[in-house]
Amino acid sequence: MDTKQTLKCDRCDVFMEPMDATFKYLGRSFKHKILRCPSCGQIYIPEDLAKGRMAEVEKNLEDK
Amino acid sequence: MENMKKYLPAFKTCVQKEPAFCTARCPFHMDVTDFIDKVQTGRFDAAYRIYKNAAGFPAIACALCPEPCKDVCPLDEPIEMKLLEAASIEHAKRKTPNDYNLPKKKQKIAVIGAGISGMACALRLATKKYDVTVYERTHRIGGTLWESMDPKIFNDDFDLQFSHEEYDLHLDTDISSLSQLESEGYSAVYVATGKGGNDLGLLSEHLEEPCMMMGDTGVFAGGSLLGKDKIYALADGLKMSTTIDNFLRTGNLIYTPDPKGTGTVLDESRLIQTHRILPSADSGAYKGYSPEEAAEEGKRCLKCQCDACRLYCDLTDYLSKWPLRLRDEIQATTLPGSSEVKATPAKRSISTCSQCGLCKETCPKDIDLGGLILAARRNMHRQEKMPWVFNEFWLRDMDFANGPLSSVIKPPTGREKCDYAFFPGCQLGASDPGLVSLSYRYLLDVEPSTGIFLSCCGLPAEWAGNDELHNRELSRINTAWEDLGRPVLILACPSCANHFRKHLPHIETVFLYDIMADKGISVPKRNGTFSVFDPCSTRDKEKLRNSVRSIVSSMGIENEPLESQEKWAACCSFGGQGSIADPGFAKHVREKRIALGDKPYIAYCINCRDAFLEEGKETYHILDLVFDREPRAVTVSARRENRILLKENILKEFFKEEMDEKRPDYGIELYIDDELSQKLSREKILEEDMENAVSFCENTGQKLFDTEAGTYKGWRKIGHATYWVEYKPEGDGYRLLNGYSHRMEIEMEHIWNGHKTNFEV
Repeated sequence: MDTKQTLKCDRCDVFMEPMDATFKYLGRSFKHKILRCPSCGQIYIPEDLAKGRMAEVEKNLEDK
Repeated sequence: MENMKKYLPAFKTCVQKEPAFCTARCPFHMDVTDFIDKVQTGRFDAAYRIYKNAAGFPAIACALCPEPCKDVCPLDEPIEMKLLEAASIEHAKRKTPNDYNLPKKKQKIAVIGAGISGMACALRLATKKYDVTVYERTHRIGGTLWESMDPKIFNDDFDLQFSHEEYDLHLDTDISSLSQLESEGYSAVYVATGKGGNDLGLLSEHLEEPCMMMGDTGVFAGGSLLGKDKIYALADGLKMSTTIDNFLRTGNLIYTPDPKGTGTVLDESRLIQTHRILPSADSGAYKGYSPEEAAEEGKRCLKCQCDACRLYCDLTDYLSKWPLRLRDEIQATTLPGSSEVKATPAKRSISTCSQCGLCKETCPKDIDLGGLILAARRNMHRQEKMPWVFNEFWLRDMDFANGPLSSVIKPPTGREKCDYAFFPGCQLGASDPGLVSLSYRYLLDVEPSTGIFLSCCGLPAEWAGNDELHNRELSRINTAWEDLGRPVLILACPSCANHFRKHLPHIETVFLYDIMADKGISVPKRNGTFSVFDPCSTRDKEKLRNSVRSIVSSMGIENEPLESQEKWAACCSFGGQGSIADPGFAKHVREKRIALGDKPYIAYCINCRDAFLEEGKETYHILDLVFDREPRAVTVSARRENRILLKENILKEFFKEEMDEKRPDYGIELYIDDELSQKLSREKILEEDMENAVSFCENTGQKLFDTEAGTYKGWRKIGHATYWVEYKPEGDGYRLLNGYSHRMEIEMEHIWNGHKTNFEV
C-alpha cells in the first residue's frame, strides 16, 4: 500500500491509516487491519473487502 | 427436539440402501449396479474384478449361470447379464489374482469333495492362508462340471484363481466317516460331496443349519449335497468359507442365512424400455459383445434403486445427499451445545429447503424430510442459533407488507361487515399493484359484498422457524378476519391457501381464478402457444388447475403441457425463502424449472412469475393476460413502493379516501440511476436504507472524503446489517454512486455510529 492515501476523515480532516479494527459476527469477534482515522477511529471497508474476504468469513461463521 | 421426533421413525423405513432387484436375486448377490458402472465406461478390468470377487470362478459361473436376474429385471428385454459377464472376462486385460503376502494360518481345514462347491470353499480359505486339504473320491477335480461344460473352461479357471494359492489334494481318497480325519487335527471340515453324496452323518442329524460341532471341530455341509443346483453350489462354497472363517476366528458357529429379497422400489419415471443389444463378435471361441457393444448394453441398465427423493426433491439433488444422511446431519446440527464442541453440518441446508413437500409425496415410505427440516428450523430458532441473515430480509418484507404503509383491511364502502374479502397475498401487489386493483374491481362487480384484506399471510414467519412471531401473525389475521364478519377469503396465492388450511382451517377460502372460471370474465384474445406452470402449492388443487386452464383456453391460447410439472409440481425457488441462505440453490432450481419447456410460461403464483422473469424466461401471471398487463421484473425497492401505491389506489378508487400514512422521510433527495438500482436489488439492498445511510452521514458528519474522486463514503447499521454508501452532492440532493452491505458488525464503532449521533469524538 505504497500508493498515496486519498481518503480523509471528513470530520477530523486527517488522512486514513491502516490500523486494527475489531469485527463481530454471530457471537465471535476478531481483528483485521483496515483504513481508520487515526484521530476518531472512523473506519473504511471497501466493497471488494466486504464482498471478498469478509463475505467468506461471514459464510464460514454462518455454517458453524 | 420434541417436535422433530415425530418425523424420525419413518426414516427407519427408508429403502434407499436396499439392493437392486437383480442383485437380490443373483446367486452371488453381486453388486450389479457397480459392475454395470464399470462396463458402461469400458473399464473391463474393474468389472471383471467385481465379478470375480462375487463369483470366485468367473468363467465357471458365467458358463453355469441360468440368469435368475432376468426374471426380476423390470425391462421387458432384460439386461443380458451373462453376455456382459462374458465380455468382462473376454476384454479384461488383467485377470491374474492379486498375490497377498499374508502370514500362513495354523488352522487346518479339510474339504471333502473337489466339485465346484468344495473348490470354491477351498479357494477362499486358501486365499486367507489357511492350511487347506481337499479330498476327492475320484481321480480328478471338477465333479459334475465334467458333464456340463468344456473341461478347458473350469480347468483354466481353477488354475488361474489358484495361481498364488496352495492346497493339498488327495485324489482317489474316499472319506466315508469323519473318524478317518480325527488324527489329522482339522479345525473345520467342509462336506461338499455333491448330489446324493455321502453326508457323513451330518444330514441325518436333522440339523436346522448345515453346521455342527464334533468335538472341537466345526463340520459344515453345503452345495449339491443339500440339493442345490451347480451355480448355487458354487455360491454355497463361497459363503461357507466365510462361515468357516468366522468360526475359526471367533469360535462361534454362526450360519448367516441368505439375504431375503429386496425392499427397493423403482420410480415409474425411471422405467424406460429399450431394446437389447445383439452381440456381433464371432471370433473363435468367443461369441459375444465387443467392448463398445457391452458398454451400450450396460447403458440400458436402470440401476434400480429407490431414489424418488433425489429425482423429485431439489435439495437432495442439489446437495447430492440422501435423506438418511441429511437426517443425521440435521440431528447433529440441532443438538444443544456450542458449535465449538460439535459439528453443525446442516445449518445452511436446513435454511435452504423450499418446503414444497414433494419429498414426502413421492417417497414410497412417506418419509417427510421437509417436515423434519421445518421442525429443525424451529428448533434452531429456539436455540438462537440460526444466523439472522437467512431470514431478516424476508421478515422485514413481511413487516412492511403488514405495516401502515401497505396494509388495508376494510369491508366494502357502506358496510360494517362483508361476506367475502379479497386476500391477494403480500407479493402480488408488490409485483404489480394494478393486478390487485383490477382483480378487486372485478370481484366487486361479481359480488358487491367483498372487502379488501391486504396483508401477508404470515408464512415467512413459519419458514423462519419463529413460532412466537408466527403465532402473533396468525392471531392478528384471525382477529382482523373476525372484525370483517368472518368473510370467505378470496385468494390469489396458492401458498397462502396452504398456509390458511394448515393453521387457520376454520377460515373458508376460495381462489380468485375459480371465481373467474365459474362466473366468467371477459378476457382479451391472445393467440399463441404457452405452457401453464403449476405452482408447487397446487398439487392437490385440481379444480384450481382446471380453472386456470379454462381461462387460458378462453383467451385462445394453446397450452403445451409441462408434463412432469403437471404430475409433480415442483417449486420455482421462492418457497421456504432459502435464496439468501444459498443463492446457488435458488439458481439451480430456477434453471431446472425453466428447462422444462421452451414456450413462454403462464404462472398463477406471482413468485413463480418473478423468479422466472429474473432468469430471463418469458413468463406471465394469469392475471397479466386477463388484464392485459406487461409483466416486468421489479427491484426490491420498487416492490415496497408498489405496495404503497396499491394502498393509495385502493383507498382512492374504492373508498374515496386519501392515505394518511406518509413514506419514511430522511430529509434528503437521493438520486440513483437504473444500473445501480438493479445492482442494489440483486443484493437485496433497499434504496430506502441507502437514503437512510446518506442522511445519517450528512447529519452526523460521520463520513469520509475521497480527495481524488471528490466523493463521500460512509456507513450505517440498520437492523443487523451494515450499509455502505458512496455519494456526492448533486443539485438540491445527492447522487448515490455505489452501495453495498456486510453482515459483520464493526464492534467498537457502534458507541458513536448510529446509536449516539451527537457524540463528539
